[in-house]
Amino acid sequence: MSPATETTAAPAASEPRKYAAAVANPKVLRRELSLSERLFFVPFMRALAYTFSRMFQKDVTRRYPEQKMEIKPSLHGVPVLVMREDGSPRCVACGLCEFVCPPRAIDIEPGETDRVIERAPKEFVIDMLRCIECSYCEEVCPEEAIVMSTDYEVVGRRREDFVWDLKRLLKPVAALQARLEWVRRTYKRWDLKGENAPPPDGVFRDPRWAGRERPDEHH
Amino acid sequence: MSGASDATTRPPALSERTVTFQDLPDRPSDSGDLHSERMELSMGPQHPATHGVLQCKLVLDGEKIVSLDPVVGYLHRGKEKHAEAMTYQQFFTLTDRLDYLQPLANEVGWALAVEKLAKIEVPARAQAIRTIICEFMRLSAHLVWAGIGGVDTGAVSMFMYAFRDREALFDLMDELTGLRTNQEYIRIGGVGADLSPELVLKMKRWVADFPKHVDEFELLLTGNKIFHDRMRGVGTITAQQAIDLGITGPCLRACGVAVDLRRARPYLIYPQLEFDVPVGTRGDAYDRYLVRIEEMRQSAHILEQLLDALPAGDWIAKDWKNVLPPKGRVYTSMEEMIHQFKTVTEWCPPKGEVYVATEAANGELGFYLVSAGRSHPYRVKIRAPSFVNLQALRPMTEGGYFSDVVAVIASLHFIMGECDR
Repeated sequence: MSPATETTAAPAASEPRKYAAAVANPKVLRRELSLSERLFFVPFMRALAYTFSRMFQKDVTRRYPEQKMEIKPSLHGVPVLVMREDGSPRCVACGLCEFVCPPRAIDIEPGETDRVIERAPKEFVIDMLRCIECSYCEEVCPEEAIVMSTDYEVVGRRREDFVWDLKRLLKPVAALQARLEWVRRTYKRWDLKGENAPPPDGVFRDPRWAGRERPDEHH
Repeated sequence: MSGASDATTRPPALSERTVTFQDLPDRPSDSGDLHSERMELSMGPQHPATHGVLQCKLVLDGEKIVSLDPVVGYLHRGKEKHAEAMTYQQFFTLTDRLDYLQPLANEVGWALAVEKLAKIEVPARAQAIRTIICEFMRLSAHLVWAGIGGVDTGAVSMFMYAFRDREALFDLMDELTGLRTNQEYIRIGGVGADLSPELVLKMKRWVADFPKHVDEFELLLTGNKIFHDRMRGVGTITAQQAIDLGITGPCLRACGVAVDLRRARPYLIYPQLEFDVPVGTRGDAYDRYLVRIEEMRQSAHILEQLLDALPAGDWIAKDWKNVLPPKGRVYTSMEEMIHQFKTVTEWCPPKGEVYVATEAANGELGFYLVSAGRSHPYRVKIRAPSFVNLQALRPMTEGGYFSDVVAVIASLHFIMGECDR
């Protein structure tokens, strides 16, 4: 039933000149209805037969609360913070995600620690009612500290339930492994041979500065 | 026989509370014609057939429309003003919500404007991926149009079939971008993630099936007498009127004016692709339907070509000054760390202004951008096709019948998110 096309001449000269003239454009076919179509019965039965034939095909819908959708590593759930082995956040409170967040859902209160990595967030709050799950925070994070989780069902009874604090946001690495691998694979961009994991202890090491890191006891 | 007993047991009769025929004012019978009193009717903003929050103030003479006054602005969110307080990358999230049926196509329009101003070269693979998603978004928008247009004209089952395909399309977009709608996938200089070979295969499968599904839509609509009677000769507009009003997109092409920006002012890799620009002959609602149906086939044809010959290479520009550096180096090298912070917080195109228009599903979607050389745009003007096409509602409906308003709105298919901005 595809509409046959017929070629027409170039558009008339009265049409605006500022556009490049399209040489040949097919005109969509307007056909008159045939007698059987005007009597309505035959097309009606054909459409009905089509609808009935759908009954014997596989369902395309999902029974949602029971059947969850397939989780792909590219899925953007809500952003969460990655936990170090000692339970502290990887985050160094640089504030870049706070800056880039388009709906301004992130609020960081920076603090200092006595460890080698001197900075850590005293408080880190994400308002999940504001978050649009765009993954900009994950993309800009220089520490691989904030990533998108697979958790796309955020529910609560009060507004306060959606304001997640540091304790609620921190997730162990094991729970985020698939997404972390996706992040390392994707954000290396054109640098296909480059190292993409941050150092395990999170300490900055430029190869050009090898052996010149400040020793721990200075802190 | 039982009437008398009912009158005693029932509450006061309904006729005592309602206005009876005798209460109505006298008809103006002295003029001799059959014109009744004019009636003002407000349709919307919560009317299900007005595609969002459009209010139509109608003046009716019986069934005939004397005048139609569309009231826009119920969905105004001040996006153009918001842009002045956002970085260039952040504004992508708002362009998504312009025409929410084709979020990625809006993002591509904005990216092209910013890249033209900043003179960024986008690699071939990124351009091909952008073209692919532009065509997918055109299909997504046209599928909603087919479904909702079917519902508006009485073919309720069309909604199921159109949304079945749209859901499958969203599954593909979900796998590519991580979100089903409002994807935030385009970056300045490229796209957000690569298109994997497995996903290309899935897309090919979807595209191979799609023309069959368009045939099914036509089986349900094109030969249907009810649909014919609702659409034929309804909302007719001449080519001259359409050009005068500034209408673009399928609504203009249905009048017989073959203007498609993919051909007229080519962008991305459209010049290398083979496709037809279908045009109509009479400019009525039925022509707009036929043009959109044919555009769906052409989009599927474009997608076939692109998916078969997707160029290899980078999916984001290798441009250290304009694009975020590779993440691995940010972790270990101070220079790239500084680049990362500078690019996010201070990136700006040079001073200047630029206008870039793309062919969105509804017509010419243009971004006019003025940069003062700062990290926020100085001024952004969005030329929204829905807003301009909405002007045609009045010449299309006035003088027609009231029941045709719904068919005209369905065939124009403006999106109020884009119209009100």
